Amino acid sequence: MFDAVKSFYSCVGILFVIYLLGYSTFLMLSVIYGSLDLYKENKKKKYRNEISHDYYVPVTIIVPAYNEEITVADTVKSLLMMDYRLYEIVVVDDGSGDNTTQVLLDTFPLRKVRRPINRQIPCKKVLDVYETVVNGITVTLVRKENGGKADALNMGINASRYPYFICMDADSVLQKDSLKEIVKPVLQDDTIVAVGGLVRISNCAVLNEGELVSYHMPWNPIVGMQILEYDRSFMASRIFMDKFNGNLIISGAFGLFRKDMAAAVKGYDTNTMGEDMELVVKLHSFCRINKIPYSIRYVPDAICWSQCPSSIRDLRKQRRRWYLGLFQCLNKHRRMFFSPEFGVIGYVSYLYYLLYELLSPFIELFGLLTIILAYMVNLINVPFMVLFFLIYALYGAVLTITAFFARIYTQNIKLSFPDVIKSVYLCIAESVFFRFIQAFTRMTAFIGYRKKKNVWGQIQRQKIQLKQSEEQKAEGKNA
Amino acid sequence: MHVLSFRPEVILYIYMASCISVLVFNILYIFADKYKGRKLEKRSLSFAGEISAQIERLKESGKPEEAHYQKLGKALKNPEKLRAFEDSLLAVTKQTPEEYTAGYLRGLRVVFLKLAEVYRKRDTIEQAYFAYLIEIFRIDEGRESFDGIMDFLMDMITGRDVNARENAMRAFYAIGNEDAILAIWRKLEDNEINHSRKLLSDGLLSFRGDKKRLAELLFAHREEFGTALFLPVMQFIRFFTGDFQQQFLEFLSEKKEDKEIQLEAIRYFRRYPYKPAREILQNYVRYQEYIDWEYAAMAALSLASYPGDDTVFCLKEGLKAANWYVRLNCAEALIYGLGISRQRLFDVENGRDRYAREILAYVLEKDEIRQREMKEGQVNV
Repeated sequence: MFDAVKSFYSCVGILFVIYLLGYSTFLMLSVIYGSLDLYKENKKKKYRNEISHDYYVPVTIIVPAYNEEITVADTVKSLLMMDYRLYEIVVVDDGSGDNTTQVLLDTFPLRKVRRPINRQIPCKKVLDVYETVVNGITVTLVRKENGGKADALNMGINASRYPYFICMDADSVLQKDSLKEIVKPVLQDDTIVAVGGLVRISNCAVLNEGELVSYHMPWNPIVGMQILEYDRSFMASRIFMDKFNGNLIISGAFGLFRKDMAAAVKGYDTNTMGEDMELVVKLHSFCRINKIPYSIRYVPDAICWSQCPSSIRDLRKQRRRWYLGLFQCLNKHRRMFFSPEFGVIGYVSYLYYLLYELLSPFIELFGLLTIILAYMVNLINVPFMVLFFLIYALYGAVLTITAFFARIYTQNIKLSFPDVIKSVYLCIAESVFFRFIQAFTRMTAFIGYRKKKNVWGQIQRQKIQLKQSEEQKAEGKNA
Repeated sequence: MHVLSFRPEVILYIYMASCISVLVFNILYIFADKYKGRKLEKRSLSFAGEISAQIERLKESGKPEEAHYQKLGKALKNPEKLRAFEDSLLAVTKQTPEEYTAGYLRGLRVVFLKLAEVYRKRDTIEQAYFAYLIEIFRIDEGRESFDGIMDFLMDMITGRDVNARENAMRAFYAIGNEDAILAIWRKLEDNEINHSRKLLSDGLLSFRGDKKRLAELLFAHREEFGTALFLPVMQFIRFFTGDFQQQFLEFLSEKKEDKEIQLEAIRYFRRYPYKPAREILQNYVRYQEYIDWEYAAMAALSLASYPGDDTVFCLKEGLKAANWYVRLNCAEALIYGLGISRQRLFDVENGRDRYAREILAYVLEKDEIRQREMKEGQVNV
């Protein structure tokens, strides 16, 4: 009997070592590749290896809004200041219960029009359409019946006039040059169907006319750890996966899509919580099945500032949504798994998300149970286990801090010495504690799954920190 | 749990060491970048002084010093110094009359010819930068025969890096040699390189030589190129000249012609109205249900350049199309393009087709708002 237990533990040990080494190798390659790529891109910029072109790809910015009366007007105002020549803004009020529409009507000279919407993608009924032109930019407000974020985005696609659209959140702010940056790949390659931008956390940033004026690492450890987590993800793994056209996610907070392709796949799926990921996976699938040459790119220079949850409760809510969205998406597109038809998407990207994102809480739970069992039958070397855990945590922290410093020099961020110290401490904390919050959230994600499947996952909103000049303030008062 | 013969933590140590070396590299880079930035500022000033002195000499004796160019030939092998030189020269040229700077730049050609051999062996980023400088300083402008600089640029055309290729192409456009552009198009075709169509057509528009000759030359060789390379040539012609109406009409008459080529020809006839194209364009709208909707939508917009009762009738019929874009374009062509009054659209506004009524009402409403806003002055926030 004891031999059987020992053999069982040998197998479990081998599996866990392979699992951990696989993950560690992926992270290490991502971070090193990401850092070197950022260095190369920085050099390119320095030596004018950039497409600087007067032509602008016409873009529609879609802002889906649900109970966003606090932030929506500021978001639209910031969008009107973009350093870009040819774009329009479409705000979709998804049947808000608050004054989202009224706030916009009070802030901008919107007029009601009888606009027939080209319903190329099915979505809920339109209630009213308002339009105006501000600073030469057309602003459209569509008020529709409530149908969820994906449905609101589909309405935005239907109401858009231009061949490319950008989806973003109503609580986010685009950096002034972000449109210019995100369309660059479209100018370089005619086969581009989607481009993802870099999402950064705005809770600790102050922006003036779409430009960053001040940035500090926050005191709130929940926010701080998320900043580092975002850096690791956006400055490492996404750059790495981008190199083989393998990114399965473009954040819903900031992404550019070719409208005809999005319409061809019937837009966003209204039955999933991770509509942003689902659209990208669907585009991969559609293009590969139909043998359409395509490319989905990621541009770390196109920056969007987005609010992150500042309490554990909100954080768990958000992560639960993400996790369930991941589950729904991977389940829906399960034929991609190890299918030669999908090439590297099936062999690497899908596999990574399946093993290290979707199944990780269950694998971790299994690991925990086997440790307890091993302890009971005295088959565990406790000092070694603690040492291994510490090494692993330290390794995670080193990875995160490497990605963090890569971002600093590529984006010309000035950090004070206390900020650097805070970052180092938060890197360790993120590696030790944050993962447990994540793991627990994921393990319990399926509780109440059916009931809350299609609701807008909202977090406590704050006013965006937009620094305005005295002149602008005066203008605002007059308006 | 230590069940394997090897020690997994050793691999983690190795990984950690790799990450730490990248981290150290990042930190050192941050400091080195700051230091280099300061150094560049200083260097930039020193070159500016030298260049100004040579331009003064040019004003007085008609020729800069040979030794100055020789010195540059050595110094500019260093890309950092090349950057400083770029900044200096741009600063000086802003304050100096063009006749003198042109003389100074002519002398630079010999330096660049030698440097081309040096930068040929460098990485793609530095090569692309060198090509960029050839463009902005107009080195080789107007040169008719191939030389070392053009050979260097031509090699970059077939490379994988889009930015480097684009920089090399922009340098060729600045040189203004038509035969070189034809050679590039052939290279792109032979090597099956997909360069952005928009960059190609806009690049052709920036050509500094004889644009008309270039258009004729590329058009004459159109059989050699696929759609991806010929379409930018058509776009270039559309933005530049109306002399190709007869040739473009043939594209519309040819049934087996590529769809994108035909759509581009329709766009051309919007900008340059051509009598023989009138009926063809009207037929696209008239028989829209039997053809691809894009033809009808594009033709509807082009018909705005062909006023007349027949066009108005045709566009009114187009308002009943099943496709939303065809309807919208017909309405916009009628109201914005042809300026048809509301009274003349009475039959559609009160007609039985709901979709036609809706789209017309929307475009009329938008037109009213636009005119009202123009009177009131544009809104600014």
